[in-house]
Amino acid sequence: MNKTGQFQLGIDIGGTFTDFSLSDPESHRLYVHKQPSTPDNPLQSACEGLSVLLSKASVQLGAVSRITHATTLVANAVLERKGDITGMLCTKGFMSILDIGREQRYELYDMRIEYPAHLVPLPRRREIDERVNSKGEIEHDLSEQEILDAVQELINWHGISSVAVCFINSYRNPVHERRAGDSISREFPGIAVSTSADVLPSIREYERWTTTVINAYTQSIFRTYLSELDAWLKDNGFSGTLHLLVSDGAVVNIDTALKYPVRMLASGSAAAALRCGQINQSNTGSELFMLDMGGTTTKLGIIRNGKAQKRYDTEVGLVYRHKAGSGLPVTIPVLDLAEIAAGGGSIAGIDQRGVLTVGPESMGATPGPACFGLGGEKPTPTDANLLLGYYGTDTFPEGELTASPGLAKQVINDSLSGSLATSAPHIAWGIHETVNEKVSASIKNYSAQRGIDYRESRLVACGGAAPAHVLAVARKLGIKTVIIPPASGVASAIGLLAAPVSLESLRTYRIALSELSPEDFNTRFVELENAILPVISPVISHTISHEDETNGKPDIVRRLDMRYVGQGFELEINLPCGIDMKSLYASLPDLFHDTYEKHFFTRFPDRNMEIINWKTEITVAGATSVGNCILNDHKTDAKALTGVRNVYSHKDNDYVEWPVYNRYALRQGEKFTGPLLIEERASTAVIYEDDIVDVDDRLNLVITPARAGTP
Amino acid sequence: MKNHSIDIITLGIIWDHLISIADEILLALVRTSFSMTVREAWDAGAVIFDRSGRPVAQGSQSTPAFTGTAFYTIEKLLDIYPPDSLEDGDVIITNDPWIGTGHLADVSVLKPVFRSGSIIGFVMTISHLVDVGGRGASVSSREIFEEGLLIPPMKIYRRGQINDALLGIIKGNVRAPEQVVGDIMANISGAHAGGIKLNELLNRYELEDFQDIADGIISQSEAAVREKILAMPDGVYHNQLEAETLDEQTITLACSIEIKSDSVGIDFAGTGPCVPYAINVPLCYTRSWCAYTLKCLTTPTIPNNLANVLPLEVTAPEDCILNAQHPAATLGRNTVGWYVVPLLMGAFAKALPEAVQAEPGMATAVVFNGTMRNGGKLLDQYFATGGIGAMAGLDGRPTTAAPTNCAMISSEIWEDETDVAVLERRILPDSGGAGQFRGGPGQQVVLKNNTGHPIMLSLFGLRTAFPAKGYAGGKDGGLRAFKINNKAIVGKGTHTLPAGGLFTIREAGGGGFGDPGKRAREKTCRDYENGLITSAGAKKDYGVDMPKEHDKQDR
Repeated sequence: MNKTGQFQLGIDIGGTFTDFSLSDPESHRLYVHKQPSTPDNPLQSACEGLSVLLSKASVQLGAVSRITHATTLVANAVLERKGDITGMLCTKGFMSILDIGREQRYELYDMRIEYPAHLVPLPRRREIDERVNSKGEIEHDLSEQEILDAVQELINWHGISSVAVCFINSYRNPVHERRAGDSISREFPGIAVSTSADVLPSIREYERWTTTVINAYTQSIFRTYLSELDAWLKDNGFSGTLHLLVSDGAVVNIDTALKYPVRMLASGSAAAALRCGQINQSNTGSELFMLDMGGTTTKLGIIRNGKAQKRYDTEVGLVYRHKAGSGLPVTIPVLDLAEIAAGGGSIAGIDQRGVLTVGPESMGATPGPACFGLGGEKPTPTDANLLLGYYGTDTFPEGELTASPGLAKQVINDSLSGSLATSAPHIAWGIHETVNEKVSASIKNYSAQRGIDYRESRLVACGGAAPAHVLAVARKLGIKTVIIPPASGVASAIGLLAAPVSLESLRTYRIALSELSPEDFNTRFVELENAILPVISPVISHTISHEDETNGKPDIVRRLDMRYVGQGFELEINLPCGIDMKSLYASLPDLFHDTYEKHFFTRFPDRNMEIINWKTEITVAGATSVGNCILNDHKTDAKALTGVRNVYSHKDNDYVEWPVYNRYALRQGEKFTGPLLIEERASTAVIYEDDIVDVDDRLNLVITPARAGTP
Repeated sequence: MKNHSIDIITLGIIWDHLISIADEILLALVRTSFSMTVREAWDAGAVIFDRSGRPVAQGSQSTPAFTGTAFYTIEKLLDIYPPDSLEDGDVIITNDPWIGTGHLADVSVLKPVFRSGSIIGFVMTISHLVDVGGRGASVSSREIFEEGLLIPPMKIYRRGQINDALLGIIKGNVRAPEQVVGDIMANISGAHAGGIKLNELLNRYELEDFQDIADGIISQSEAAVREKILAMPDGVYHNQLEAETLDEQTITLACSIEIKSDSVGIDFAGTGPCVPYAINVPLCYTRSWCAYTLKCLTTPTIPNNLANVLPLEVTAPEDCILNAQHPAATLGRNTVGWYVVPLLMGAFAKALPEAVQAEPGMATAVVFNGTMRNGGKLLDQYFATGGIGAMAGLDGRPTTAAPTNCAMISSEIWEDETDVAVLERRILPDSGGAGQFRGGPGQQVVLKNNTGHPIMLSLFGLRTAFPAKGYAGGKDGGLRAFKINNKAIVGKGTHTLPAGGLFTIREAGGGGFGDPGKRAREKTCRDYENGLITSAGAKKDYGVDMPKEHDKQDR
């Protein structure tokens, strides 16, 4: 075949699997592919999988106009502490800032709470004798020589390959950080440099520095990967655009991603949220709760009107009971999602209390779960699900993986039956349930912190492991509707196809409204837009010339963080679109007073207000709507009921027969009643007794759980 | 154990919801506050009560002292203003130390929440005001009349109408009226937000009130607390310790704890008398830390509510320093009151040696009173924390608030708003008490007065003479010290920091736990690398020689 056209491609590299999607706007076919990740060389799985998918669809790389890429590379490097050996230069007197932290306990009464280890231990930090004061004036000049000596020492003694430059008050005047950064880049071209005001020009040194250190820690690992990928794509005839998905669900070009890998921290979960957004369009009703279970982590969050909420602070790697405050703080634009370290490949073991636990350590892609016979020696939920009969031996065909229940049983017996003194299937059920409990607890926690009644929402299963767990979780939580979209195992990759081309930038520039002129107001925004446009315009022009779905006019959204003078926290004010800047300026006081009153039920009409942060987001509409695309695998002439499988029943402590259906043969309007298994590539939906399954017009499984409680 | 009519799943969901509302109230208060003490350091609290005034949920990051006192504040306020005398839109305010939190500086605000014409619950918010007049933040006051304006329980809102006369009195008596009034309004809007959210919650679940929920919350929690106490060995356990007061005087604090079946009695007989300085402690504040300690040792992961204090009885001889009577001066009541926690821990240690935490280095709050570079008023509190104590199996964390839970103030925020520069914040090696499990080290903070004017510093420093004790053979932590221009100053009192002058705070370390000889060698090496101990400290406390190349490579 000789297909040309505007193919869209999505690649999502997770800790365990790498997922691919390809949409053909002419035939409305959707091709997907999944294969094991190669964490030691992520490029390998990306390139191999890409080739497999393209040949499956008979498409040349040259016919692809856009590749959108998400990856957990950055997050995993932080979680598993596998980033670059990183140094840190900070202002004299502030060497301990990372260790001192916020000084507050995140739990009032629990004396055994734990805190995360920092990415740059003290020996790799150096103090620099420089000083900019809080007004931005230079009090003590920077010596370039001191910088170079410090970096040379860190290279000699510690072998650093990356350095974070973190000076006090740089949010106000970044000149010293820039000079330091420039001289390091000049003298040590092999060393990656991250300067704090460049990564995040906002006040509060601890949060800004932690973010900058994460940026530095992941920079060269990410650069190596991305430049190799770019080269490989070009060598193979790709002439379109490569976009990277950042944590707030927008895409950026390679240069931006290379500079700010920390913006990629939540890239993978943002993609899954985009997928949930697509579902919402075709299903009217209450809000959605995303449950994205991959191999190493599970992410969850609320989706309203097709979009996850945004926030500007997050944490990575919670170390104590999923508690907010137990991770490393990061200040970047991010979707408001929670993450727990439990997935299909997480390791099950016995903790200090003598009870079964799952995670946070994971088997990853290599060696992977023991049942694949690739050398895994510790039990995982995947092994458990196989032994329970939820998964078949050929559930994971894409990596040519064959799963062996015998191996699963053996690893569970070897590792756990000694301590738990019960049968392997019973332990497997325990592992499965432990994951369900962990996920449920996390949903409760997330909801409690945000005042959400999760029972009213619809739970959407994304990620390969979710369909096997989602109904048990829904029962525990009393949730009334579960949606399992087609190809939920590659949901993130499909979500990428709809990623909006967008970039948001933020600057801290504090000014009282009484001192701000209309001209100044306009100029600030123009400057901000001029700063983002060079970054985004190649993206825009390319998108416009290659995709005629939008009329090409970038959509500009402006926001201000404002407060009353004397307050310490800001309120985000959305400035209405389609109003000239002069009128906008005139309406600022009312906008602020009104928004403030809406949030806090009071207003201070006589008090002066100030602007702290200026935000501009430039967006070109999402690339493709995949809502009406049909999976190429779908074959309505095939037989839906493919056979039966023995599934472990906890109630009977024995195996009973469940019918097994082929998902690709299901038709719109069909209805089933559990128990049953619905298989597609890489995932199996586990439907319990009396659960009712409806197949909707987009071939989503819409399931009503029979009752609350444990199945 | 089930002593309520609501199903357990619904109870769990609404319980979480109430806590999330309390969190929202606290967040609203913190986010709208005009003082760094509240908005950066979180010196604030929020509590939700049921119709009969029983506390059922609190903001998770509330200062523990505040939620402890709130339980009793409401009783006294409802005695004065019986529920049937309250109308929709009323808000009661007070800073009476014996009704509120133990000193004039905190304001407690209570709002009855109405639904279809009747009260369904109450919301209380509490926060620290930057000034209440009088001598300002001073340890030297001898009676409460010197300490500032006392607002007896009054309606600051009556049926939704603000009480301008009261507001006028407050404005006329404080040094930073804009900040103080702004913060009082932040308390009120937090309480107001709580009322709206509570009604929304009841709408959502189609409930008339949440009395059944409150019954469920309290009975579930009470059963859990009592079960834990039941598991403790019965007996009477004593402890006493010395604390510094002023002018090199010291005072004895003593307690006896009686654990009997599923309840606990705490008495402070043997504790020394009140003193003619502003560090006396009303019983409400003492009792609050008793409740806190019991919570830590019984059900730390169950959200706090009335249940925690039901098995607890606290008594103290009248006029002992932990049961100060009017008109004792109490502004720095935390200076002595914080010792209640280590005092009780030491007694509990005899019953539960593996469960307790060695003494904490505690924290410092210094009030800065001066003029900014641009002529504006400077009136703010700076916070710094010492290290916390170690416990069996766990090193104490450096620089962490205990027993209070204030957060640090970002140096950049502090500098921007005070013109006082932060020159240094470094962990102080060797200040954590040695032990098999090491106490948390404190820190050294150096501040420089760049305002161009002298600043009055008010200090209420503790642990300047008595270090945080180690437990089970662990060593004591380092002492706290203060300096102006490198010259030691007395830790309590008012000092002048001249323009351009340097102010140094050395924060105390926490106590160690267990014999230092049993500490694993690699842990000692790691502590050395991470700057928590020096090579001299490694040698002296642990008998470990740091290899020479170590010095060269890593220091």
